[in-house]
Amino acid sequence: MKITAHNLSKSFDGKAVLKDVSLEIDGSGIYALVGPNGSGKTTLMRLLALLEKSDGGTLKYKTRGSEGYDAVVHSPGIRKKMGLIHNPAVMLSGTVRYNLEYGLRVRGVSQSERIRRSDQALEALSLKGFGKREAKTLSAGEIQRVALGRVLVLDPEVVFLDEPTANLDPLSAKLIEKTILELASRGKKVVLATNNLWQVERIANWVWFLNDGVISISGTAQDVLHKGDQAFWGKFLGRDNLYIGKIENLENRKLFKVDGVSFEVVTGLEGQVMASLNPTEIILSSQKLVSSARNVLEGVVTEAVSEGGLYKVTLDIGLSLDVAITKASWDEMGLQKGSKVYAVFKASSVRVWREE
Amino acid sequence: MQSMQQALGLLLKYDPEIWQIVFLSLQVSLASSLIAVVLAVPLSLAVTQNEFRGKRIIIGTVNSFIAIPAVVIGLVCYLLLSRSGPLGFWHLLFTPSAIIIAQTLLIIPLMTGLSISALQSLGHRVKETMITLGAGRWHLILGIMREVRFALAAAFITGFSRVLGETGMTMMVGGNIKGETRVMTTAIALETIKGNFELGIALGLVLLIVAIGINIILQAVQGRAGR
Repeated sequence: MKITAHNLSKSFDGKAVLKDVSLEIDGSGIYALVGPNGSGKTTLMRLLALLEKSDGGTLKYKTRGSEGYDAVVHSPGIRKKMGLIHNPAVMLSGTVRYNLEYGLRVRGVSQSERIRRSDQALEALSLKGFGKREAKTLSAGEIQRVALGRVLVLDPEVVFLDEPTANLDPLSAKLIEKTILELASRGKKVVLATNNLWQVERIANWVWFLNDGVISISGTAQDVLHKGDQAFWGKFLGRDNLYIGKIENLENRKLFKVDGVSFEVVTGLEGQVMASLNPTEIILSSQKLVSSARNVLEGVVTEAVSEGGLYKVTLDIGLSLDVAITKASWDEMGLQKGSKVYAVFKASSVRVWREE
Repeated sequence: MQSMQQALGLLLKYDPEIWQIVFLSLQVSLASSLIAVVLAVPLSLAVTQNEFRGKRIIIGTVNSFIAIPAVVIGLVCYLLLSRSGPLGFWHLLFTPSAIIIAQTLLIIPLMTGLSISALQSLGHRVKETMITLGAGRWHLILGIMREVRFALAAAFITGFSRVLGETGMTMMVGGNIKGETRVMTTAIALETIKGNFELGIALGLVLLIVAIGINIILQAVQGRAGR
């Protein structure tokens, strides 16, 4: 099934939540909808899953060999080819098995087939022995797994997941990610709304960044996360000077490498990590300082903004780096746009972490 | 004390008159409760599952109808069903059917109101979950009713116990005719006035046991509904 959305718009109480959003979901894979809270991710997903009607724009669903269906006219038929999982998911009253079988039951699937498919789902989601448990009494992670299983048994072409692993225990989160990857490998399309950039990095093929009701960035996960504007992701996560890169070992030192720039850090982590630097912990110097600080990076001032008594100076050191200095320092150093400076910071000032 | 002993005697030695009254009571109340629930549940579904203008007014009206005194409903039914009334040609006044009609009218607002609040307490997400899993209109309605089944059962039981204990209205439209429309409450009222305490006490005991029994069931059901 191919989904084409053209200029979708939606308002609630006069407030525009989505503004002329166009996108296409074609070909199997994992599509990630990323964006701050309130950016319209959930609303967009609800429109695509036909749970809500758009105020404007068109939605077309094209199945193999068909001319294309208009969402408004054919919604029940199309809806049966799609599944959506809320977070937190809601369990229907009854047992886990009742929940797993619900969609099959309303489709008139025979009892033996229902049992076969729900057994498979119980097995796949590590819920063996849970069949007779009252669904509402399960833990959040277990409930989320049952909700995924409830959709899996229906073998839908497209699965929508709203923040599928938010607030879950690590085991459940891992299982859910594994299942999402399996779905994609079986030729399904998975659309997930998430704020977890690590998850996007790990599993997504395609990324849409939704901001204030508009898709501001879209592209393959590789392009968007690694070649895009790194500072942008930092702002998105509320962190200054945030970079996604790799740790490399050089003799006894650890180097963080991103976009051809590298600096020394202190960390026990290996491989893909995030690093951030507090702008107030960076010293600017007009000459190459010899000090105990391990990192001295040459750069050019690209921007300077006065921010509450401080000057926020943006340097180009091969990537964008924000430094905060006092107005007095700024004046004394006689800095201006285009000035050549050195950014000096300790290896221990760099915070290195990995979200999992 | 003597009356109490005689009353117990009446119950134990199987007095057919007593049991005829008891069965008629249960029959009539059960019939009116069933008719009322069959009307109230679809009505509450129609109100809660659709968005339309005046929805809140309808819900408000239903809730205020709960407060209508039974005796007023009895009066209206009497006027409608009496020989010179608009429905006089049915010849229903002073028959069990008249009692059933009046009792049904009495508890429709109560059952509808309770069903509406049960359905409103069901989160929007539950319905949406069923839709995303492929439920069509009928499966959705059945599914929603299944989710609130204990609350609906509680609404039914509440209505049933309301009509089982109803006296004045039942007397007005039923006439308390011996062997035909005499039910437990009207019989107790009559026998007490006549000074015939043992029959009154005997029926009172049965009514009390049934009422307490219903209450126990209701509490059990409400316990499950609240879960």
